[in-house]
Parts: sequence; C-alpha cells; structure tokens
Amino acid sequence: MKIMDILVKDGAILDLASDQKDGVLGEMARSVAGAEPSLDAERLLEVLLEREALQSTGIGEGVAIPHGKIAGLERLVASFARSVKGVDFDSIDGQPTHLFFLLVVPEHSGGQHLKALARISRFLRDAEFRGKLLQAGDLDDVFRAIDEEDAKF
Amino acid sequence: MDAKRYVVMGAGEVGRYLARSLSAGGHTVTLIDSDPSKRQMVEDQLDVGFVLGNGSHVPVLEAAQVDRCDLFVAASSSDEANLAASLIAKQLGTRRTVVRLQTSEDVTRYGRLYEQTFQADLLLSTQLLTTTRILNHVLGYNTLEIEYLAGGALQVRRTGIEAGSVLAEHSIEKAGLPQDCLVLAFISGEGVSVPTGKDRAQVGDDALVIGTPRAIDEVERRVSGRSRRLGLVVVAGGGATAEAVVSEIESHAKRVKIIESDRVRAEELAALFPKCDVVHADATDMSVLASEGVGGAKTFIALTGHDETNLMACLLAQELGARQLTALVQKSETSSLWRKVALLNVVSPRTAAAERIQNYIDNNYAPRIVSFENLAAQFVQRRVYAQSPAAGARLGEIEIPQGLIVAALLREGRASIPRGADTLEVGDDVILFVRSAEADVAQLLFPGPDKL
Repeated sequence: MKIMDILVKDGAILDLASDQKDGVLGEMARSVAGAEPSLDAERLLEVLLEREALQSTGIGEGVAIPHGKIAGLERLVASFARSVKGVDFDSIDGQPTHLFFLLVVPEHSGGQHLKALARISRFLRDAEFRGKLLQAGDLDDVFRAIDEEDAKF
Repeated sequence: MDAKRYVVMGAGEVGRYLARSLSAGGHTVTLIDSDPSKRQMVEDQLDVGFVLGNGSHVPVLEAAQVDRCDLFVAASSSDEANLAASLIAKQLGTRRTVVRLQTSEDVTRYGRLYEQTFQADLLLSTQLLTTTRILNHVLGYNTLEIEYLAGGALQVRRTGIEAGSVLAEHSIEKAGLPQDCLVLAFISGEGVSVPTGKDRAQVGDDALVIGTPRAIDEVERRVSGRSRRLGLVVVAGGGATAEAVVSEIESHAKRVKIIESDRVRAEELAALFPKCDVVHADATDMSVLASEGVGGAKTFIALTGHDETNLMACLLAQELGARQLTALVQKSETSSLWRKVALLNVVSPRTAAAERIQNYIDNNYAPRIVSFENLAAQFVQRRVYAQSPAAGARLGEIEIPQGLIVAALLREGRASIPRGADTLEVGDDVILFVRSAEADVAQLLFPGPDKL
C-alpha cells in the first residue's frame, strides 16, 4: 500500500491556521471532506475526537496521526497538514506537534487500517523525512517527499 | 555507589538479614519493630537505627523518617500491618515501598489488586520465592524470575539458557515448544532482542517466555538444559511450602511420599494429593525413613517448620542412601556449613526475600521482570475499544513491527496465548510486550490507559 495512493492531495494544508488541538482537527476534517465528497466533515470530526479522547495520537517527535473509522466509507483516505509554529496536541513526549497525517478508514477494514498506520508511523520515524516535510516550500515538495519514501518500502 | 537510606519494618529473620546486608553496603538503615526484646538484639548485632513501635502507626513511621528514605520495606509477620504501613508511608511521602506477604496466592492471583490498593511498588511472598528456589534445585530448572499475569493464569518466566538447552541448539520454530507459550525475547548483556522463529539463543542468554503454567513448565524443562525426570521423591513436612512444592513436582516424579507428623494435617494432605503416599510419622525417626524406602529415593526434601528437624532428616536420609538433598532452613547463619558437611541444598526464605529486594534495588527499582528503565522493553495491558484501530482485526493480518508482540489475549475471564487466526474483539484485553522503540506504535494501535 502506497501512502500517495490514499492521500487526498486537494485536502492537504501547508500551514494550519489553528493552534489548538480541536481547531486543527476541525480544519483538517473540513479540508479533506471538501476534497472527498464521500466524507462528512462533522461526522469525521466527531470520530476523530472520540479517538483522541481515548489517548492522543500525538506520538512524539512533532508528529500526530489522527485517525478513525467511518461506516459506509468505501476506501482508505489520508490527508496531510503542517503547522509551522506547532500545536499542543497532548503528545506522548509533551513537545509541540508540527506534522499531521490524518487517516480515515471504512468500519471493517481490519488489517488495512493497521497496515496504513504502521506504514505512516514508520515513515515518520525517519528524521530526514520529517526534515523534508518541515522544510517543504510548497505542497508539491511534500508530495515529492512522500513519493520518495513510498518508493523505498 | 551513593549512600542510600532504607527503612525496614519488622526485625524478624527477613528484616534483620536485609538490614545487615544493606548496611554492609554502606547505606543507612532503620529497623522498626514493636517487640522491645528485638531492640537489644538489633543493637548488639547490627549497625542500624531502631524505632520501637507498630509500623502501621503514623508517629512510628514519622520517627523512622520514611519521607526521606529511598525505599520502605514492610516485612513484619503481619500481612495486614505490612499493607497498611505501605499505604501510610506513601501518604507520608515515601518514594517506594516493598510489601512482604505470607502466601503465594496473594501475589500470583491478587497481586495487582493489592499493589493498587496499598500503593506497593513491589509485592513479594517468601513462600513463593522459596518454592521457586526449591523447584530450581529439585527439577533442575533455571528460573531467574517469574511474573504473574492475568491473575496467575499466565506466567512470564525469565530462564537462564545453559548448554544443552533446546533454544541454544535449535531455532525457536524447530525447538518443539508447546502450543500455549511464546518466546518473547532473548536477553543478553547487550539488551533485549525480539527473535523470529528462525533465531536461536546463545548459552548464557536469558529467555523470556510467556505461557500457561503447564506449558511454561514444559518449556522450562527443555529450555534450562539440565532438567531431569524424578524417581521416588520423599518430602518431610507437610506445611504450605511443601504443599506448593508437591503440587509442582507431582507430575515430574514417579512417586511422591510425604511424611507429616500431625495426624489431621496428614489426612488433609492425603485428600489433597490422592496420587501421593502420605505417611503420618516423625521424619527424624531412622526406622520410619528406612521402612518408607528413603534409601531408594533419588530426591529428599525436608520442609518442616524446624531447622534442626530438616537438617537431621537430611543427614539420616543421606545415611540411608538418598542422593539429592534439599533442606529448608530459616536461620541461615549455618547454611554454608551444612552445605559443606552434608552436601545439602539449603534453601533459606529470608535470603530468598533479601536477594529479591537487593535485586530490585540493583535494577533501579524496576519491579517487573523487564521494564523500560533497565531493559528497554515492558509489558502493558490494553483494552480493545470500538475506536481502537486493532478492533476487528485478525492477528495474523496485523503487520506490526517486530518489537510489539501481542503476548496474551484476555477474553471473558479466560487468558490465552493468541494465534494468528484469532480476531481482536471490542472488550478484549491484550497484554503487549513492547520494546521502548515501539512505544509510539503501541499507543497508536492500542490506545487507552494501561490496565496492568
């Protein structure tokens, strides 16, 4: 599974306006739902917040992977957002979060969901890859970096 | 090493022995005991402070300055006082507490509940530690530590790998280990490695294995590399420790005889172990030992409550021709002498407890068999929620990094070692073995509070 195959390019955000956790999730949900008609922004935000309530998806090193399951969705959908100044996301290491990968999956996607999460988190462990995303001048730079990473594994 | 401050409640065998070994290491130790006669004994024999009083009372703990100690050990003869003292000491600002309990079951089955309720960092049962040591001697096991999970339904054992071990000679998949177990890690001086089925261990490594008690017993037999099948085993004394030992070795021995001097207890044991011979007699009576065939016994274990009886019984058994001798000895001053004179295995509850506590201190107060602090891996227990990415997934299809193992599945009160065909359902609990490098993935896939 390639991340670029499931990434909704038009939903990506180069610099988030909000600096609050809920605000960021709302911004990302609206943006990806705007580009992907099968998604409802409000329902998506609800699902994401439910998941965050269990435990933050901020996994440290400035990275968060908000995710959730949506009944009736037909395929996996991913989206990207960046916050230049950083967001307090209740991250595991307490540090501000700059890079956000959102992942939405159909209700019964079992292994697919886990596979995508494991893949995204493995990419983001690479400090060089994170650096490319942080320094990207535009979204095309971001997509190019993800493409290169996709080709490696 | 920096000098530390320790407070030990209970100046009995365990407490005094521990106080002596800690103060010998250059640390400051204060003993607490409510028995005035202990004061003289402590002042004569040990270079430690003494506070007279009941350790579960606030002024006594304050006088011992528990708020300023590195570790508070509650090892008096009363379980209730030890538990209460742990909780009060925590309220007074103690950083860590160890609580000694009498019976094994309080640790194996109810340990987590006691730990949480009384804020104990480590629970230990001298009976349990003693039983483990006796089984190591008698069965040739090499158990270094046991962690009890899911109320004792599952165990994690850390076992030393010696020459002849199946895990040193074969890869894990070729070792023929039983179904209900899983090799989680090999631990060497370099750290923790999570093996694949193709890997084998080095002699000198430790293996970390999770499984049901029965399966893990079988693993231990093959992994330690020197286990043996027993012929006739004679056990002198039928107390709680003997009961625990017999229930473990029964299946490994051709025949087990228990000699118990109390008639009522002998009848109880006969009902408890229908396959064993229970003899109501005195274990230091040479003619009894001779007529019970002790001379033909490969293994003789003396576990009465009296040191002298145990040592005497072992000497007599040896005289009759018994070969492998193990004696339980409470007062360990003379242990090394006995080992030399009679080639006995001497098992001392207080040394077992003191060594476990020393080990806890040496490992930077990591209470678990492995933990992030010292070995870069740990166990966590997580619930599978509807929002959990892993909900509804079949284990075989979960492609997770090698350092994250679903080690156990707890469903409807039953604990099992999961297989690839198992599907994770909402409401299940899983015990994960997680290397520190994979802590982030564990949090993503199995979100929620740790329930272990």
